[in-house]
Amino acid sequence: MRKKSVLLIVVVFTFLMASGFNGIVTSIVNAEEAKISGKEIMERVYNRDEGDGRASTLKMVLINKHGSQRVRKIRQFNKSFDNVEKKIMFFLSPQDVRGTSFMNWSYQDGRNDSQWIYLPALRKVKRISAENKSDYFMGSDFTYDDMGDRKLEEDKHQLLRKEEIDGEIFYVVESIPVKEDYIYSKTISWVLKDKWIGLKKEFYDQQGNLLKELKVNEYQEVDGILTIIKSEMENLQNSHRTQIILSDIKYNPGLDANKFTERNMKLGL
Amino acid sequence: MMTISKKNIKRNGSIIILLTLLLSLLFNLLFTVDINAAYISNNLKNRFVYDLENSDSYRVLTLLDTTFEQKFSNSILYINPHFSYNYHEQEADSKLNEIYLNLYYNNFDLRIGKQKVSWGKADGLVVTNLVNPRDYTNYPVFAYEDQFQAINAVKANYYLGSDTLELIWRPEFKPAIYDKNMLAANLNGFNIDNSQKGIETELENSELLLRYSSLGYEYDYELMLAYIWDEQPTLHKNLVKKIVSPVHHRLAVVGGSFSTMRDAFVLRGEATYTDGKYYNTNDFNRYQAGVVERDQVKLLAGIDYSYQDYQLSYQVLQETILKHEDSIEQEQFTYQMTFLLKRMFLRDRLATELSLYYDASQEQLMAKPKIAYDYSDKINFTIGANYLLKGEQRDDVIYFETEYLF
Repeated sequence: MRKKSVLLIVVVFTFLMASGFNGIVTSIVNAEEAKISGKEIMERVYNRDEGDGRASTLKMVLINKHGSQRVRKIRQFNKSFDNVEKKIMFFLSPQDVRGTSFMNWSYQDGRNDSQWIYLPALRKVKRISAENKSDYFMGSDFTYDDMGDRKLEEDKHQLLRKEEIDGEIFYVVESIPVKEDYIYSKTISWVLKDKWIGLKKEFYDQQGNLLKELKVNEYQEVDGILTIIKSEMENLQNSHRTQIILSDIKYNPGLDANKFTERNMKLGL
Repeated sequence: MMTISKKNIKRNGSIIILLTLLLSLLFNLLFTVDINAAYISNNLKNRFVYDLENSDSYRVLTLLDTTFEQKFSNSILYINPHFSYNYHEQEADSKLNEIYLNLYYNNFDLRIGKQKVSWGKADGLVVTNLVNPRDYTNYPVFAYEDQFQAINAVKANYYLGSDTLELIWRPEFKPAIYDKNMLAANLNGFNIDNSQKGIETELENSELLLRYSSLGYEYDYELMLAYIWDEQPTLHKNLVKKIVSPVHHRLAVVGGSFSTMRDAFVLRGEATYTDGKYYNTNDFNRYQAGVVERDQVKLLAGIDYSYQDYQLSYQVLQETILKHEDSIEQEQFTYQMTFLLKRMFLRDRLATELSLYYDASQEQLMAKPKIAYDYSDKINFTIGANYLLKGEQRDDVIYFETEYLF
């Protein structure tokens, strides 16, 4: 009996030695990966390093099914302050919206966002309702939520599978809204393993049909931070598309709280 | 009573503003290194207005609005000239809507020149928005903001985070502009004497307005004080000589406004208390010239609701004359209401709008339907009407407008 035990230990030890140390590590990692949940993946996507604020210029190209194009340009700034993330947008073109600005304060503790709009013709900063996050932004195929306003806890996330595309591994995560009356019945995201960046997303309407598809066409490191440069949202039900191109990107641009005020909305500084 | 000199008023006021503007510009240029490119934009409108009350009457207008902005390292020069041509009258007109220099520093701004400033949370109805006098000759009113005249002023802003302290100094008084026919309708056989109407441009006659405003998580609010001249003259009557003299009186106004969000609703409110307001009275025995001074309170409540492509807005304004007497011509309580229903179609390219304005004291209900189509980002078409659903002073029109932006 004792001899048998010793023999078993020797066999196991020999097998382990033969399989190599890397194999042991891989097995441990795989075990960890197998445990990772959809929520944890999306947490990592939401909490990816975005620096201490960002300044960028956003170009939106709206393309209808006949190929006719309309272009909108926005200069935007955002930064987190303690419990609140502040964002300010200045509309540069077309001409009839030039000078308009939009400001959003998003609270991490679950309170409703505060939103304001400045209309130069009225010379007035107006508070607007932040309830309608599912409204489309400037006639594009992006809703305010699609533009990044949605919070992690507003959906239940589930890891569906892992997929290999062009040699890269993606986590495929399904997100179902907690509130049933939301514009989408579910979304499915393709998250690049280890980089925690979503490169594809499908949006399903309330009937469960595929409504829109978001594809990231280009991403790169800017100031050491992985950044989506070009993306396209296509509405598959009406063949309308919106391309988003980001330029003049600067992380940690030294923004302070005074950037996100009524004064700046009016002056466009 | 102030002495009158219309020529001096205009000349002195303009000289003060022009000199200040030039000095500021010179000062600014001397200390400026980084000069950015200028921005020029033009808005060309062709408007056809057809008078429904008089089938022979129509107007065709061409309007050109040019905006010039030059940014310097710590200032902006803004010039907005306006040109118009009336084909029917064969009249050309031009004016400088606004011209000012805005100097800005760390937490302080200074704006000098001819300008428009908007206060309060109301849309169209005036409670705390007392900076710019109104122009009632702009009819039909296409946009609420068109009813205000620019004024020569110096505006200083001091910023404390999200809060702002704003002080406006108006060196010269500018009254509201009325249609001559409106005044004539109220004369009742009296002759008009304008000798007491003007306010001489002197330091003691200048106007001051102060506002503290704040943006916050739950509420935005403003508190204001104003020591101004009443933009509307009170008609002083001499029964013996059968003369009516329009006179502007000094007003001291204190007020405030707020807005807050409740789910999909935005609630708004404004209030003012005015000291020094004069009203016409029938009791000439007790009150000389048929005018009496009474304090006035204005209260406004408004609600906005938006859901998907729909936008709804409702406002009610109550004006109350304190210590009211039966002999005062205006009722103690008067009400005005506005309602707006707007819906966007075709990815915000087509906007349909119905706005209603109700003046309870005049028993007047005006409907303003409008359809605007954004053909491209440079060309827009608008068709609309101003139609009196209830009331006597009919001035109904339909209009069609093309707009070219370049």
